[in-house]
Amino acid sequence: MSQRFIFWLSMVIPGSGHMLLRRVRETLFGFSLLALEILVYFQFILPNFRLLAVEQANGKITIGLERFVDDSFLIMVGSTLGAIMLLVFVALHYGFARDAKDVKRQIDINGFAITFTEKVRGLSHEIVPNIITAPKFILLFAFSFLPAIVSIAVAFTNYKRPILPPAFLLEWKGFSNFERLFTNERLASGFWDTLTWTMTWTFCASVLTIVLGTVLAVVANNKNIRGKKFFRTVYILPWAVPAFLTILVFQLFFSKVGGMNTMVIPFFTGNEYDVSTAIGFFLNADYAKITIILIQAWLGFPYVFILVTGVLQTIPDDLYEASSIDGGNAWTNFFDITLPLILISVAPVFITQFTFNFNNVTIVYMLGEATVQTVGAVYKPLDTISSLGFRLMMDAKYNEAAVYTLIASTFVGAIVLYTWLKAGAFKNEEVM
Amino acid sequence: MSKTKSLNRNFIARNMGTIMSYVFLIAMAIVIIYPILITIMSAFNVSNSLYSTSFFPENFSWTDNFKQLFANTAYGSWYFNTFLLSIVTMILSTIIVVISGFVYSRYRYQSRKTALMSLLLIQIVPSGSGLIALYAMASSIGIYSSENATLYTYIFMMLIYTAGGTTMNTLLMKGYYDSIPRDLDESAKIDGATQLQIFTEILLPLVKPMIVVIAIFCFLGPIGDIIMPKFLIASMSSDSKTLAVGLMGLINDIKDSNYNVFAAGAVLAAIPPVLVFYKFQDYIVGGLTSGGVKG
Repeated sequence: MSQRFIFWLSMVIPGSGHMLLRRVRETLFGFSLLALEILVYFQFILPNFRLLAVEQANGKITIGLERFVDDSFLIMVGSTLGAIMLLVFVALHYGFARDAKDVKRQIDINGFAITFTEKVRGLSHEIVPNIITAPKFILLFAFSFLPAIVSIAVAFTNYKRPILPPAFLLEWKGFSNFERLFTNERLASGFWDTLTWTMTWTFCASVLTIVLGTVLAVVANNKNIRGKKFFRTVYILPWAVPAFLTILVFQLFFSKVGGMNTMVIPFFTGNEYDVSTAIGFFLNADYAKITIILIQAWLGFPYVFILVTGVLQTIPDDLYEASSIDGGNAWTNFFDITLPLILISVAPVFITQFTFNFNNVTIVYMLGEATVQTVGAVYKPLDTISSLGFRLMMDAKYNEAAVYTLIASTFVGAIVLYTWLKAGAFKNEEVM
Repeated sequence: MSKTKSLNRNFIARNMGTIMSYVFLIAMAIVIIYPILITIMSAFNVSNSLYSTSFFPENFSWTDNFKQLFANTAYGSWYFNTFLLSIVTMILSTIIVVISGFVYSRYRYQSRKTALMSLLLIQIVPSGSGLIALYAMASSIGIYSSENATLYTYIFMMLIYTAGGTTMNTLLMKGYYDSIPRDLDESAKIDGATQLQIFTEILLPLVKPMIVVIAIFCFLGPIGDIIMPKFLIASMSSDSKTLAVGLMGLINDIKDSNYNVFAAGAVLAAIPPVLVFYKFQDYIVGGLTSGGVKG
C-alpha cells in the first residue's frame, strides 16, 4: 500500500484512503461527501447537462427540449453552475487525497499520525478568515463572475427578440454570430468603420485628456502664478459634478438651440442667432466625433491635473537650485527635470485612460442618442465596440450585443493582464 | 516719458511668459465654468421659447422651474431612489471592504494568496460585461413579474454595485492596512487586547482616511451610473427611475418639459455629490496619490 495508491484511491473515492488507514471520522466525512456529490449530480447537474444541447427533429440544436417547459436561459445558468460544481468536487477530492497521503506518510515515518481533533484545532485559524471573507466572494461569484461566463455563452446562441425564453427555445449557433461580422458585406463594413472610430476615439480622447491635464498643472504650479487655490478649485469641478449631468448639459449646449449656437458663436462672429443657420453639432458625423472627444477631455482632465500637481509638489527645490548653479534656464529645467519626473508618474495613466475610454459606454451611448443614423449605415456614427454592446442590448439583440461585449472585454482584459504581468502585480509582496 | 514707456515695454517683455500663462489659465477656467453657469442661470429662467440668447435670465424666478419640476415629473421619487440606492450601496460595500481588507492584511492563512489572486483576476472582467446575463437572470427568477418589481430591482442593482465596488477597493484597503506597522498589533496583544479590539480600537481610527475615500467612491458610483438603471429599469413606471434615467428622458423627450426645467433638475441633482466632493477633497486627492483610485 504505497502513498501514491492511497492518494489516487482517495482521489476517486474520498474517504477510502482513510478507511484503509483506519481513520473513522475522515472516512465518514469522505463517504458522506461522495453521497452528496452523487445526489447533486443526478438531481441537478445531469438534468441540466442533458438539456444543454438537444437535437430537434428538424436538425437544430436547441437548449431545452420543449417550449414553455424548459427555460433555455435557466438551463444555461444551471449548466454553468454544474460545471463549476464539478470543478469544486475535484478540488475537494484532491484535498482528501492529499490529507490521506499525508496521514500515510506520517504513519510510515513515525508509526502514528496526528488525530482528527488535533487536525481540526490546527485548521481553526484557517477557517475564521475564510468565513469572514466568504460573503464577498459569494457576491462576486453571483453578480460578477457567473454573469460574465453566461454572457459569453449567449454570444453563441440566437438569443434576441422575439426569441425569448421560456416562450421559445434558444438555439446554438456556433461561431455564426462572429462570422457574420466579417462575411456579411454590410455588417463587415460597419464593423471596420466602428473599429476604426473606436481606436481613433480611444487614442484622441486619452491623449488630449492627459496633455490638457499635464499642461494645466505645469502652468498653474509655476512659482509666479497667484491664485493657485482658485484655479485648483475650478479645475476639479468637472470631476466633482456627476458625469451624466455634464454630458446631458453638453448635449443641450451643442444642440441647434443650445448655448454654443445662441451665445458663443454670435459672440465671436458678431452675427445674430438664427435657428435655420445654427449648427447641429451632433447631426453631422464629423462634428459629432470632434465634439465628443473635446467633451471627454473636459470631463477627464481634472484627474490628470491633480495627479501631476501632486508630482510637481514633491519635486524638491534643490534640484532647480542645483540646476541654476550649473547654468540651467527655465527651458532646461523643464525638459531635463520637470518633464521626465512627470512622465514617470503619468505613464501608467496612459494605460488606465486607454482602457477607460475604450470601455467608456456612458458618454458614447448618451451622446449617441442625440446623433442621427445615416441612411444605409448599420450603426450610428459615434458607436464604439463597447457602446454597441450596450446599445444592441437595449434593442434586445442580446446575441449580437454579447459578441461585441466579448470582443471588447477580451481586448480590455488582455491589456490589463499584460500590464499587471509586466508590473509584476502577481509577484509583488505589497499586493500579495 | 520715453523712459517709462520703454520700462513698461520691458516689463511686458520680461513677464510675457507669466501673462500668457494667466491668459491660458483664465481661458480654461472660463471653458469650465461657462457651461455650468449657463445651466444654473437657465434653472432660474422662466421662458416659453425653446432657446435663450442671453446669458442672464430674462424672466428671473427663484422657484418656478423647481415647482414645475416636482409637479410635472416624478423628480422627488427619482431623487429618493437614487440617493437611497447609493447610500445603501456605500454602507454595504464599505463594511465589506473594511473588514476583508483587515483580514487580508493581518491574518496569515493558506488560502489567502489564492483569495487575493482571484480578486485581482475578477477585477480584470470589465463591469457591464455580464449585464445581459444579469438581466436575463433577473427576469428568469421573476423579479420583473413580481408585485414589488421596483424594490427587488433596486436590491438587485445594489448587490451588483456592491460586488463591483469591492474588488479593487479591497486591495486598496489592504494596502493601506499594510502601511501600518504590525508592531502596533503585537504590543497591543501583549497588553491583552483581543483581535477584535485591535481592529476596532487601534486600526480603524488609523485607516479612517482610506475608509472615507472608499466610501465616497462607492457613494458617487451609483449616482453617476446610467448603464445599469437604463437597462434594468427603463421599462418601468416613471416613479421607479433613477435621476440619471429620468433626466435623460427629460432632455430626449422635450414634449414633456422645457430645458429650463431640466436645468433645475440638473442643479438640484448636482448639489449633494459636489458638496461631498469638495468637503472631502483632500481625502480624495490623498487617496488618489497613495493608491491610484480608478479615475
